[in-house]
Amino acid sequence: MSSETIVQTGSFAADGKNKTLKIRSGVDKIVIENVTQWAASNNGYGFKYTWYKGLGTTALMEYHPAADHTSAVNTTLTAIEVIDSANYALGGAVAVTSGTDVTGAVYETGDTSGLANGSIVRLSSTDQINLNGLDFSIDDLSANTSFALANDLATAPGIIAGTGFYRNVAPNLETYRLFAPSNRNIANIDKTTSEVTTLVDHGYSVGNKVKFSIPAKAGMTELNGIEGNITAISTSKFTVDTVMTSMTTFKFPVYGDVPCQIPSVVPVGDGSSSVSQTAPSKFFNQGFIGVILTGGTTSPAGNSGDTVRWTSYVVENIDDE
Amino acid sequence: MYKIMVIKVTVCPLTSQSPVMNQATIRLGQSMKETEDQLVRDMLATTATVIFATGGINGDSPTEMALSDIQSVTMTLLSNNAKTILESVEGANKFGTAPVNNAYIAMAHTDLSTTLSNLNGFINTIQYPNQSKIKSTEWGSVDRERFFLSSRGSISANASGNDAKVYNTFICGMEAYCNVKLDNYKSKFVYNDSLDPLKLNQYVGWKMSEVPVITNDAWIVNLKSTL
Repeated sequence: MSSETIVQTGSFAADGKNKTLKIRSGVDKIVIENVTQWAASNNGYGFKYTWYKGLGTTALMEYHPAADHTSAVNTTLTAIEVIDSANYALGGAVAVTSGTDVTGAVYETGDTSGLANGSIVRLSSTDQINLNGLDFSIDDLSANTSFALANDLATAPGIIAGTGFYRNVAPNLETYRLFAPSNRNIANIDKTTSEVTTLVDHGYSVGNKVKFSIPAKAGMTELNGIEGNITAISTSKFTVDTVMTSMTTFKFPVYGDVPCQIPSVVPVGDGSSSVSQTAPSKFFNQGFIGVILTGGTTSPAGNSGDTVRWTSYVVENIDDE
Repeated sequence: MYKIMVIKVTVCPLTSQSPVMNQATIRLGQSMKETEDQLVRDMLATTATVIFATGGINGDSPTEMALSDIQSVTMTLLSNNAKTILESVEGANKFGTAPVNNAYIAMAHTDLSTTLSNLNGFINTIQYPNQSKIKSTEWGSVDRERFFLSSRGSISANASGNDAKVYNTFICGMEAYCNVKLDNYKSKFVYNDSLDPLKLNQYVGWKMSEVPVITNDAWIVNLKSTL
């Protein structure tokens, strides 16, 4: 091996969210080039990032300091995180100052570092005791101001959140759990379309078979224990081949219902249509080592629409003094 | 695939066993089986059907484990026709003993030992009429469950409503889950004493090629509880 060896290279179309790169042999250095911003002349936009293991989560950035092709340099913090998904550490408790009482509740906080749209958070110690302890995907992130539940509940929590805490559980779905597909709590079920919305984006595939656990306080008890085959999916919703039109309307337990069971769904295998599956089946170990690139204008994963190229290196010796 | 290898880069005297390799072998053996256990544990934690403990009084969500929660699990498994794994322990004419039901196996964290001991109807292992049928990790029995504790039991950190640890107790019936071989083996322990040209080095390691899987979701429950 030479003193610096390229072990992997690739590219991705940025969506503005954090991007996970799976690097099979670990990494000591990464160079990330935003092809779109390299060619563009957007003031303040980063176009090249270099990261060394000794820098921690900080990256060296080159960016356009004006609306032209001149360049300047700076460092960008919280840019890259090396991870082993099997041992991903739960984030610390961060104060939430308020939260709305609507189906897509919005939570105010002064610190959103490490979060991006699509991140998964866990609330605790708020007045919304029916949501405390549960994991949620988030969206509508406003830096150091607020985030919202990405997947609307069937029913508003019943009370404003007051003060409490959130924790960053995982930067995205790939890092959320070691085995997939895994069980999910249910936010909503549309009985007219048999469409199920989960609190955390589900990650299921067409052809998966799932089984529902619906407690009395969620209304639709006719679905309890029933299995269905997934026939269509979107990021946060999936449709099953179970006819629900005559069932009781689903509701998410409100704060007055606690203590209670939370409606959930668990994958139980492949359906008869498994030949149409597009992703690994139950249950696959999705553990990996790699890095998470933070999304944004001055971050390596870029903004939606950017094309980003990356190259990772391992080195023979690291001689930091 | 999971794997670990240790290389001893010194000459090994032919007249005695290598203490370094012996120690490494002992540790690797422990490592292999603990890795296997942890993979099964993590699979169960993310894919089993979940029941929240609600019968306790600590005000958290979920609450601490109560007899009513365990009875709910038993009812669920019975109604799903899950077979019990362990045979009953017949009563005997001995002071302080009690017969033990045929039972499902419950795998829990050692932190739950006090909670379990305080449950109504809990039978300590020392109270079993026949002490020959007890495993070293067994803590006792209540309702139709016999509890086995491990310090590596499943915990979801800060996952309760009050930010406390949530303990995942897996209660399973017969053949509820299994480990599937890949590449026609589950795990292998490998030792080579002379792979290099000068035959100076020794290698010992293990590799694992298996996947844990729930065979019938109806026969296993994850009872989530706090302390």
